[in-house]
Amino acid sequence: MKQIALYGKGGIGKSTTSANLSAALGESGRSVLQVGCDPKHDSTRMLMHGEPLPTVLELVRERGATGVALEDVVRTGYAGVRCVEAGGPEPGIGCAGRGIIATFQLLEERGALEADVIVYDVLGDVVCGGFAMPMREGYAEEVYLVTSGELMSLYAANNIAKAIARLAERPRCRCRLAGVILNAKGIEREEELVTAFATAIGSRLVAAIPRDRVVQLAELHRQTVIEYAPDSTQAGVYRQLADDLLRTTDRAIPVPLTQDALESLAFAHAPL
Amino acid sequence: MPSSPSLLPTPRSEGCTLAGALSVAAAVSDGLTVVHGPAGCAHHHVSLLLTTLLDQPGARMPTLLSDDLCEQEVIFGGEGTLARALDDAVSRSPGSIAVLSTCVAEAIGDDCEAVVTRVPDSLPVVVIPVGGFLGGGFLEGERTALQAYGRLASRLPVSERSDEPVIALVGEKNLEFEADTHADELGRLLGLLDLEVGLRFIREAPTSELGLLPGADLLVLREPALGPVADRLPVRPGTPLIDGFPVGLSATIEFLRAVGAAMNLDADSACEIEIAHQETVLARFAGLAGSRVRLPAGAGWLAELADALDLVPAPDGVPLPVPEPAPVGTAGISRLLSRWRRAL
Repeated sequence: MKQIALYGKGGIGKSTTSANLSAALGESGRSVLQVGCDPKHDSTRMLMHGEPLPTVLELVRERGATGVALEDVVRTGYAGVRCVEAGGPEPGIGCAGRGIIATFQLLEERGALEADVIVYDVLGDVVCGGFAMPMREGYAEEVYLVTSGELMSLYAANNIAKAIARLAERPRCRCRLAGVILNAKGIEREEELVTAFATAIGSRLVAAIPRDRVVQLAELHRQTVIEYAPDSTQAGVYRQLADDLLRTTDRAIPVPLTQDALESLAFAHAPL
Repeated sequence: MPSSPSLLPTPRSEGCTLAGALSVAAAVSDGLTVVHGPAGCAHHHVSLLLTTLLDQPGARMPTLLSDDLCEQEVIFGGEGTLARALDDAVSRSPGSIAVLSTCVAEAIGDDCEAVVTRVPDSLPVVVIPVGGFLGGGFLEGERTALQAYGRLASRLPVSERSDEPVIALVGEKNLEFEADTHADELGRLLGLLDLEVGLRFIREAPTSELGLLPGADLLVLREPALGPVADRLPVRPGTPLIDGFPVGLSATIEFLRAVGAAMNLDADSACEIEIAHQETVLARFAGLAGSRVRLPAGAGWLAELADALDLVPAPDGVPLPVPEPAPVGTAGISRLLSRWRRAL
């Protein structure tokens, strides 16, 4: 079983990348489980053709943990991908990080975390103990940082690298950084910058996903690109990413950058 | 951001802030306290109150509710649970309600102030934020609670008061075995000046009585550590303040003079009576003279007392017990000397 986690800044395209990755893996005949770990619970929306999933925490709130069965929260979407959404509290109240912990405990107890590949889609703006839990407790063995060439996105990716480096010091922690995925915004010299960032933190760029209108069109049709435009170049990029992720054995303890070093790197690769 | 860089053993006064706040809130005789946190927080402190109050004659068990925060409340927020607990509290018709937060409630950011607005305006309610992880200990909780009740006192209707001046004792140590004994001694001393304790802020005082605070004529703090509290109490500008209960022979006389000065009274006669009383007390223990004793260093009032009794301080002397907190007034000295006599 391969357990992959995609971390990155909110809005950077983690869910789009995760869903297309899961779809590509599902198409290849593998059993896939995608777990959305973001309170806004839209990670699996494209896989489910827009059908909103009842979130684990929503049902726990209504029925209590003992009243939640696996079939209540796990639904099968495109290409047989099983989908789960953790959910979270209303904005401005409670503790979403603790919600992630409670969700994993429930899924573990129900035996849900079984598949050839499990893809965790995790919000990376906040790397508190709760959101770091998938890494800390050994669920996410391979972490991919999803980033664009924007400084704030790189800043969030670097923060997650810090968390991985810190957690890797613990004897029982198996979590490692497997690579960096560029989800391009179309900024000049973007791939060059993100490649340099990946190298600087002791990792590598595993994929550069170009900006393509087909992604927005697929979303409007409530589908992944893999399903909406299976023959498109973009679908090919996601399939290639899925193949790479299955084959890769790269797992590193990152060396996060200081704030100054990160800013210098961004400056050095700024558009000419 | 408060943090604890070491694991040094902490003195008793640095225990849980919730315990300190509860020691004040639970002493409002018609009050009801809601502990907004896991049931264990309330249970632990009820146990503490029980074991302490059992030693105090005639002690009243306070009314305490826990809203029993569990994991769901931590994830989704506990404000709804607090709201339900407040509805329960209101239905019990207390004189006032105190809401004490806990570490968990503070960590998840519940807004207790917003939730208590559901309590009818006619029922006084006070929110005391006491997340222990934010720093401080028992004393900090006590201070926070006294300040919160100070703010409440300023909102209460002005209490009916007699023509007698109001002398307020502030911050009595409610978990102290001799709390009432100390207050009685202050009452006796004030009686020498034809004064009396008008308000115990807060020990077994009903909510309505707390409204006497803003009009108090003199504040007597239990100990100097409560000075920061006194600075924030809603009293008239220039209200005189004595920063601690008197400990020691001369300090007791000085207390009478300070009260006299604060209240524009001639304290000479009261001082003479008290000095004579102290001489009588000392005479009862004259047999201790010449005893070789060992006393804690640094306490001037102990050296003064040893000198008055002709005790002989010596490194190989008999170690004498000195309670903490120190005994108050001449009555406290008398009780202390009885213990010393047994030790010698």
